[in-house]
Amino acid sequence: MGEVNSMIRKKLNPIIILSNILIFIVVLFFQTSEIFDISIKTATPMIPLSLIIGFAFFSSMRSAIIWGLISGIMIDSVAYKSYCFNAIAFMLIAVAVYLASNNLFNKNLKAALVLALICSVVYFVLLWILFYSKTSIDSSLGYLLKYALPSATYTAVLVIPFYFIYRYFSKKIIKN
Amino acid sequence: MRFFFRSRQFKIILSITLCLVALSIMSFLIGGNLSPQSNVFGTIAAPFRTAFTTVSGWTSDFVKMIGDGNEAQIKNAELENELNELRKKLSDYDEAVKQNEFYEDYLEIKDENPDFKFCPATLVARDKNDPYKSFTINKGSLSGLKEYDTVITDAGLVGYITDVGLTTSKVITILSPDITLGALDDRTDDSGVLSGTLELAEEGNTRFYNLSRSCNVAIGDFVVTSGEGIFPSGLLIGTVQSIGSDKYNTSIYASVKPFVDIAEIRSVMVITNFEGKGGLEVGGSK
Repeated sequence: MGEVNSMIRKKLNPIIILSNILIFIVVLFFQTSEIFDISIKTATPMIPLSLIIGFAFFSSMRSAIIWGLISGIMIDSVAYKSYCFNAIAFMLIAVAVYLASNNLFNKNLKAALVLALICSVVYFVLLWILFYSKTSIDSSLGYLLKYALPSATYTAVLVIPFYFIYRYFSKKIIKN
Repeated sequence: MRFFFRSRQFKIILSITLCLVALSIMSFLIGGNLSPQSNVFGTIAAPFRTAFTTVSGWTSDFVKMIGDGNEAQIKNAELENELNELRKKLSDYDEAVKQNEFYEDYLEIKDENPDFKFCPATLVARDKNDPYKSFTINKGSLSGLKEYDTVITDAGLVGYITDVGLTTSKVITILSPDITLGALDDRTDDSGVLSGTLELAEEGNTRFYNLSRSCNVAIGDFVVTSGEGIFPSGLLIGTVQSIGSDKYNTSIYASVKPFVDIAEIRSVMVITNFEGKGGLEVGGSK
C-alpha cells in the first residue's frame, strides 16, 4: 500500500487535483447554503463527512489530514457553538479511515459503508454529548433519536457516490 | 499499524489536535468570538458564501415557482424572459427600490424606537445540522457587531449574536433552548419566560412559560419582549397558538408561533445599540 501511496504522490494529475478541490468547495458550500436541501424529515446529512471518508479511503495520510482539517475548520466557521470540534473530528476521522482502510479492511464498498457508519455514528453521538445533551431530557434524547442517529445513517449512505468518485480517481492515478 | 504511533505523522497529528483542543478551550472560556482559525477561514470564505447564497436564493425562488404549478406564474416567467433585456437596464433601479422597501419596513421600527442603532446583514450560511436553525450573517466586528446584539427582521425578533468574527457572526434563534428571555403578553401584560424546546422547534414554534395560573393569556395574543436582559422592550415575538399546563400543574405555558419565518430568513437587522442596553446579562445555558 505504501507503494501505491508513493505512486499517488509522484503522479498526481493536475486535473484530478483541481477536480478534488472543486468537489470539496462545492460540497462545503452546499452543506451550508439553502440550495438543494436533501434532508429527509429530520435526517440531515453532514455531506463533508461522507466526502472526507470517501476521500481518506483512497488518499495518502498527508492529504487526509490536510483536507480533514480544512473541511472541519470551514464547518466550524458556520456551525453553532462548535468551537474546534469539527476540525478535530474531521481530521481524526480522516486519519482513522486512512489507517483502517489500509490495515484492517479491503478497499471495497462494503468496508467503506461499515467505516462510514461507524465514523458518522461516533461523530453525531459526540456532537450530541458535547452540545445538545445539556438541555431537558426530552429535548436531549429527542435530538439523539430523532436527529443524530438518522442523520448518521444518512451520512454513511452518502459515502457511496464519493467512494466511486475517489476509486475512479485512484485508478486513473495508478494507470498513469 | 503499531508503527504508526511511533511515526512522525502521528506526532504531527497529535500536535495539531492538542493545538486545536487548546484553541477550543480558549474560545469556550473567552466566549463571544470565533476561534482564530474559523475566523480566518470564515473571513476568506465570506464573499464566496454571499455569492453562493444569492445564487441559491434565486434558484430556490425559481424552483418554488415551478413547484407551485401555477400557470400564471409560469407564463409570467416566460414574459419575464422576453423582457430580460429591458430588465437589465432597469436592474439598478429595481435594486434601489428593493433596498428602499427593505429599509422602509425598518423605518417604522426606527420611528417607534429612535434610540435603536441598526446594522443590516444578510444570511450567508445556515447550520443544517442544528434543529434550532442557527445561521451565520455577513457582518462582524468590523461593522461594530458584538456578542448578544439583538437580531430582528421587519416582522419581529429572530435571536441574538453568539459569536463574532471579523466579517461574519453566528446567530442563535428564539427556537433554541439555549436562549431565555423575558416576555410579555401584549394584551394582558402577563409576564413569563420565552425559551425553545426541540418538539416545538420542529413545528417552528417556541415556548412562553412560567405564566401564573391566574394569567389571562389567550390564543391569538401577541407576545413581545419585556425588556429584561439583553433585548430591548416591546419587540414583537409571535402569537400564542396553544395553551397548556406544566407537569406539576403549578404554572401555565403557551406555544408561540414567531412572526418571523426563521427557516426562510435571508436578510436581518442587528440592533447594535439601544437605550438601556447592557443592563442585565443573558440567561439560558450559555
